[in-house]
Formats: sequence, C-alpha cells, structure tokens
Amino acid sequence: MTRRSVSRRALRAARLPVFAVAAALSAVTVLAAESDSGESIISARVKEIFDFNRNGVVKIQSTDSHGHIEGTGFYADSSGTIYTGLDVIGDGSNITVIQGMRKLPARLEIADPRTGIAIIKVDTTTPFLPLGDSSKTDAYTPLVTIGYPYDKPAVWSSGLVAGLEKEYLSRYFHTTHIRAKLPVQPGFGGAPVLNLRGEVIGIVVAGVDENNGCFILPINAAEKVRTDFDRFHQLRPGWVGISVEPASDNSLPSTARITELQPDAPATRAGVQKGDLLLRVGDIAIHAPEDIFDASFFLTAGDETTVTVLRDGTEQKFTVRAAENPSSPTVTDESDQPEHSILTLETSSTMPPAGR
Amino acid sequence: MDEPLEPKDTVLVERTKEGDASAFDELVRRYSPRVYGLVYNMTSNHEETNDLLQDIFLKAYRSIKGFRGDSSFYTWIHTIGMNMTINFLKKRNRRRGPSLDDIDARIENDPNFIEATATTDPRREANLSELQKRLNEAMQKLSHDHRAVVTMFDIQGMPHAEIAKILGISEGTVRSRLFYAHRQLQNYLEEFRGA
Amino acid sequence: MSEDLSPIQKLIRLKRYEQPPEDYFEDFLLEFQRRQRAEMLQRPAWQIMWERANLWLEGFRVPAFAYASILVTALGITGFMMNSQSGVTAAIANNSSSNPAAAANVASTGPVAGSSVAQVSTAPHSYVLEKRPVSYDAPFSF
Repeated sequence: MTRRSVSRRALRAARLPVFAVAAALSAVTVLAAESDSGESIISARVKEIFDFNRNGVVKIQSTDSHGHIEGTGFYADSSGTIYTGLDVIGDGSNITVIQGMRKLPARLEIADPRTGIAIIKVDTTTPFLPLGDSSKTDAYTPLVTIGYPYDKPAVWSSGLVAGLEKEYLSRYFHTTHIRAKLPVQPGFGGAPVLNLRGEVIGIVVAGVDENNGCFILPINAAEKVRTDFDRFHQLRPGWVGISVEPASDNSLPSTARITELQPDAPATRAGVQKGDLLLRVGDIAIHAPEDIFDASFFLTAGDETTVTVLRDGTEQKFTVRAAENPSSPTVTDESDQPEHSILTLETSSTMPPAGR
Repeated sequence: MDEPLEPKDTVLVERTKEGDASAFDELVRRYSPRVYGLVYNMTSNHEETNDLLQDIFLKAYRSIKGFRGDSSFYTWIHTIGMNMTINFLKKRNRRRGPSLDDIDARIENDPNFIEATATTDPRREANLSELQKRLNEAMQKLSHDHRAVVTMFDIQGMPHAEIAKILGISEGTVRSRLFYAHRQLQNYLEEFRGA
Repeated sequence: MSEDLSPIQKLIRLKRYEQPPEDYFEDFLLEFQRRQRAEMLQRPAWQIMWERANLWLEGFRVPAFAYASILVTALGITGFMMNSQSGVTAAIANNSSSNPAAAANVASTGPVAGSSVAQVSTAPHSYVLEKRPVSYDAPFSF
C-alpha cells in the first residue's frame, strides 16, 4: 500500500466518526434549544404513554366476605383478557370491570397464588396494551405505571428499576421479581408497568418502603401463567426431580451442585447425575442455587427442556421431559370449578367461624 | 286450605342482589326474631342485642353479593350473627349484668317452668325473676364457645349439624362442648334442679 | 328434638321465652331501613353520582328518596367541574359531564313504583396493594 492510499483510507475511515460527532453535536444543540433537553423528552414520553394506554387500564371491583375490594387491571388482548392482582378479585364470584363509564361483569379464568396475579375475562372487544419482553429489563430501566388509587380516576407514576430480586425478607419468590423505585398507592395492585417504548414489562404486585417502591411481577412470568391457561386451562408447572446445594468452590461457573435426584424422575431417567454442576435449564442460566426457582417456574409439565451440566470438566446436555410434581396439588382453571376457591382462607360463603 | 305463596329465601336473596331492597326487608322480617334470640342469649342484654342485630343485618345486606348460596340464608345469617356477637363479647371487657325486663307471660304456662318452680320445700319460693337471674348468670359464666352451643342447641333448638356448620367445627365437637357446658351449668344451678 | 332432656336442659330451654314485645320487630325493621339509607347517603357526592349514572344507564330503577340527592349532587358536581383546574379533574369532568343530564332525566320522570334500591356499595373498601409479594421458605429443588 502506498502512503497516499493509506492516508485516503484513513480519511474515509475517519469520516464516519466525524459525522457521528457532528450529528451528536447538532442533536445536542437542537435539544438544548428546546429548553430542558432530555427532561422534556422523558416528560413527553411519559405523557404519551399515559394518554395512549389509559383506555386499556381498568378499575376492578369485587367482594369477599369482608366487604368490597378495588384494584387495577389491564387488557392484554383485544378479546377482553385482563391481567390483575390475585387479591383484587375477592372470592372470585363477583368481579366487575369499570372502563370509563362502562361497567362490565368479568369471569375468573385462572388465579395463581404463586405469582399473586389473576386473569379474568370480559366478553367484548377491547383496546389492549402491547406486551414486551421483561428479560430485557434491568437496573435503571425507566418505567411508567398506570393505576387506580383508592376511589380516584387513573393516574400515572414513574420511576426506575432498582434491581431484580429473588427474595424478600429471607423468603424466596417463585420467580424473580423486578424491584423498582416507582411510587404506588393502594389500589395499584394489578397495575401494568411499561417501559419507555410503551410495552408492558410487568404487573405491580406489592408496595414497599411505604409505597415509595414496589415489586413487579415480570410480564414473561405472567405470560407463562396465561400460556398454561390457554393450553391446558390450568397451571402446569413442570418438575424434573433435581435438588441442589451450594458448592463451595466460587471459581466455578455455577455454585449449584446437584446433590439429589428423585428416583425415576425425569432428570434421573435422562441421565443427569448427583455431583453434576447445574449450568442451564432451558433458557435460564444457573449461577447459584436460587436460580432454580426461575428454572422451575418456567418449566411446563409434558414439555421437553435441555438441562446443561458440568461433569468432570466437560459440559453435557440432557433432554428432559418435565413431569407434574408428584407431591403438589394441581391448581385448576377457576371456570371449571366455580365453587372451589383457592384464593381465600374461607372456602365457603360464610364468615370465618368463631370459637376455633 | 291454600298455602300462602311466600317466596323462598333463595328468591329473596336473588332479588336483593338485583337491587330490590324490599326483598331484603322480607328476609329481615323472617329472620330477625331468630337471630335476636341467638344474640340475646349470648349477651343477656336487650340494648346490646338491639344494636348488634342492626349491625348484623346491615352487614348481611352489604355482603349479599358475596353470598353464593352454597349454604342456606338461614345458616349464613346465623353465622354472621354468631361471629359479630362473639367479636363484640370479646371486646366488651366488663361483664354487664343481665337485663331482667323482657319476659313473656307464656313462660308461666310452660310445664318445665311449673316443674322447676314447684318445690317440695315450701320454704323456698323460687319465683320467675330469681330463676331467670340464675339462668342468665349461669350462661354468662360459660365461655363464649360453650355459651354459643347451648344457645343454639338448647334454646334455639338447632340440630347439631347446623351448629357445626355455623361455628365451623365438627359435630363431635358440638356434642362434647354441649356435654361440658351442661355439666358446668348443672353445677352452678344445683339448687334449682328438678326432682 | 328429643324430649329426654336433662333437667338442666329443660331449664335452659325456658330462656326461649325471653323475647322482646311483639311490635319490637316492626320497629326494628323501620330502624334498619333508616340506617340503610343513612349509610348510602354518606358516601362522597361524586361517587353517588357515578354509581347512579351507571345504574341509570343500565336501566336500574332508582328509589324516590335518592332523587333529591341526585339533583343536589348533580348541581354540586357541575359547580365543582367549573372550578376545576388540573388535568386529572378535567378527566373527571370529561367522563362525567354527561352525568348531570342523565341525573336530570332520571329526576324528572318522578318516583318509580316499588321501592327497589340501586345496588350501591356501602361496605368498607379495600384498595389492593400487597405489602409483600408471595414468597416462601423453599428447598432448592425443582
């Protein structure tokens, strides 16, 4: 190469970053000219998300033996499917959806005590909120939520993701939750949480820090509940028969050491062995024992998954068909069993008995 | 003779749910005397019973939408009544004396009363208010649980199965509580025992 | 009920005569109805409006005694809306601006036969927001 061609090539190569810098500078100039730069963009975006999606966020009313219950829900599709909080639906027999001036009766499709959400349905065409991918949500992701506080009309709230949590006060969740610095109020149970692209990435389940923050169930977990319902009309958690304990060696890619395999369990029959280091279950990477809760949550009985382990320094993959956990009762579709309530402590329409 | 066409409880409940308050008024008419008896024999006090009874039916009216009819309205209203009464009694710290006002003259013709107040000992004149006072004291001495079963079985005449449903206990527990309660009452009322 | 009651049971049974006088229960019902209505009218004006308007739209009959309260609250809300400034209350205004008209229509048709009562919520309200998500002491098994 001649020196001239090198320098010409260098010039051409330099053009791109120069253009980029020039573009950025002019963008900044434009933004600065608009007054509050990034701030006004965020404000505008939050307002847009609120205005655009508020029609798809509804007030839910129900009753149980103690009185009236109110919370928030949102349409997940155009056929009236609504996500809401488990405690919002009372005893499940008497659910009303309020959308503006309309009051619609809703029926309970499925309730999941593990996640604290419920899916109800109204029989009408509905606006709906686009659902996103919660696995792309991490710390500092900006969020907007829309909910009905107390007996007031819908309001928005905004904040940032603080982190992803597997436990709270020393007790584990059934699946990782998003914890956010996102202020909420009573009545926000069941509210949708959206990213700034306007996609739902979670559902408000609990308020913490005097409601200055909240725990959010990732929408991917909610969709597992909905998918199970669509496929089987019941929750279908999968079980493979593996128990793990923390391995002491932190230099390993995972500290989840398999210490027990249930006899004749799916993982056992597939060839997984005691002593294997668990690396991956389906889409879920395992780094530590508490990662198995997510692995477990997203398994579906009857579906195949790939379990990856480290054995004697080499990775091995096993195809495992998850089964139903032989020791847990099946949670069923509420519409098939209208008299059976898994939600409330009282299982009849009478008051809690006195004098126990 | 034609039977009067009175709507069933289930019909009245349905109408109430649809917004017909007069249907609930009819349920109040039907059940207030019975629930009155239930509450009164737990509290032994007319004023408290009156207030509680209002609260009980108001609560039932507010919660009617949650009543799904897998038990009878009878059971439901009695359950609400018993629960509210026991909660009230727990909060009430001091024991109020029973009010002796409300007596029905028919008691004087009841053979059990005649038997109870007739005595082989002419020096002991057991009169009406003395007997009633003793009975009420004895009832108040029982724990809430025991008073509840005695009220429902002995006074209101409800079957064991119904009592079990209302209190949320087994029939066996109802029977054993009754047995124990009767023993306690007996000890307290020894001097009034019949021949 | 079996008649071989013990003496103590026979005595206790006498307590069933401790009844209030006959007219007590009619008075009781009147008092009950009075309290029922008092509770309903204690709720915030705009909420009564909203419920009434909804029920009117759904074709429920509204009791005569409620018309006065509807008219009063309709006028009240109209005044409230005229004074409102913020976006949120503008939203209420937008949603309920049809209510005064609805209420006026209802009020002008006069009392309805029968005494049916609109199903209104009078019980304590619980506004859901859990204090902690569902969690459990779990073994590391799946």
